[in-house]
Amino acid sequence: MPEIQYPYLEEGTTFDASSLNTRLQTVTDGLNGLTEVSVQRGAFSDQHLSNQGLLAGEDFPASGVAGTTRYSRNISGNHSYTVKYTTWGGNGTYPLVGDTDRNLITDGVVSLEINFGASTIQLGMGNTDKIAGLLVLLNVHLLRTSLVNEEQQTDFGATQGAMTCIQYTTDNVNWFTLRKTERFQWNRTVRGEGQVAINPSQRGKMTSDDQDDVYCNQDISTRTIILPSDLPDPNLAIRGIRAATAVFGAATGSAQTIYLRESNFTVIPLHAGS
Amino acid sequence: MSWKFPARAIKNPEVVAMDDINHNFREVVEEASGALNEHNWKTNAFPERGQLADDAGIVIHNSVVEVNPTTDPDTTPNVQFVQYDRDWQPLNGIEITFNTTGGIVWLIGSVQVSSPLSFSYFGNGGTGRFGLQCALEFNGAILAQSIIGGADLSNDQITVFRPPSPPRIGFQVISTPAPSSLFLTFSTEAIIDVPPGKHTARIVVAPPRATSETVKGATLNNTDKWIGTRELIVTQLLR
Repeated sequence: MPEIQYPYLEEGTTFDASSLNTRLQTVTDGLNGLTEVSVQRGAFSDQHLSNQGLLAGEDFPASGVAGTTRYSRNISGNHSYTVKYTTWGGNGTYPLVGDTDRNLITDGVVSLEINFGASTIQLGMGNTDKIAGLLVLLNVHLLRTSLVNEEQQTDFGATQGAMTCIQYTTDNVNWFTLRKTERFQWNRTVRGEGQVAINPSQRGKMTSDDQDDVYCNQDISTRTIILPSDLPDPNLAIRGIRAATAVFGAATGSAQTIYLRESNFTVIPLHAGS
Repeated sequence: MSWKFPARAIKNPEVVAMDDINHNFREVVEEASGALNEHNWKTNAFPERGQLADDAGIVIHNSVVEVNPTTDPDTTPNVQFVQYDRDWQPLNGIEITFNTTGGIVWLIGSVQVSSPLSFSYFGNGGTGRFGLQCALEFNGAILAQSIIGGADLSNDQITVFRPPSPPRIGFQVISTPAPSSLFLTFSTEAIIDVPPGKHTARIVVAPPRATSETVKGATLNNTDKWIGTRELIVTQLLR
């Protein structure tokens, strides 16, 4: 605990300008050496700090889309994807070729992307943006998967699911995956639950449309913090960050599709120590 | 220093008293020794965040283990298999120990899980051990608000009814306390108030407890359920 040393004037001794000046000097020195424990919890309010407070979001673009905020994007409608996952961490080669085995999550109106345009950001408190890291919260609702023929129709055993991940870009063209953010949800087919294929005669009398589609209704959730150490260069100038998805699975057959519904992508830039 | 004037006014032509001087000094000294509050700062005193120390308001810690989801888990580095007949099991490689002056801490866990049905449902039947539970552990104590699945492992058990005839007609799950799938994700969070000192946070998982119906007729395989990529984040919210 920081203490300002103040020797009390004692009864029976005389005090003069010198003794008072000495005591004033100890108080002055103490005030010039305050530490963090000199301050009560809650001493700093938004009236004292910059407009962005401790959310280091000056460079984050505001959103004009209803239901979204400066830091988050929300999707509510049904949307589908056919791009297939091939490689752990993405099939691109940094820095020239971005990943092509996954696509941006979008319903055509709102995309799960926060783009800084020409105003790039650099992570790390040593850089001028003073952003220690990006705290990311991603939730994606996997509605169903679809596979038109082969496995799904012969034995109700298609192994199919969805992958979600977080990507960044430096040029708005090539997007690269942060490998630690890949998450997977398998659909609830017989093989998708880890079983051997069921006897076709036991699966009921489904028509073709019924047996092609399998509903999952499962939330795929990701929580992560993106730090400079997660990037190929800790001082990388990032132009955008987004959520991406792909069909995941070993199923064979044509027109493999995943359908996503409600999704939320929140990115909180933190002014923080470590 | 929430006051504006010295507590004891010293005026001419009064005699300057030693007690008054001591008292006025003491007010300043005590306030500046840990009691400065929101009234002591000017409006917009810190117009730019660059004027604040890195850890002025938030301190973050994180720990990550990555696992390749495309290769055989038996031979994939960092895969952690979950043991059937144990209670909460900490996830390897992501424990965080940190020191704090006390205050609010936001704990976040994010985990990739593989927890398929037991193989023997369609064979011998009645041996399944559905799903996996997950929680945050802080200084050795499970945080109840972070538990995914049933909160009481001694009470929330799998209960399975399997029609005896005809053979292999199917099964009916009456109760299961945990999420289940060959691939699924967990995210769990808790915000807690912690005292000053050294603390340890972990993510833990547990399979549901067995019942008399779920264990007979099969040998459980302790490589059935496994943990993939996982991350633990500790965010200290200091001011």
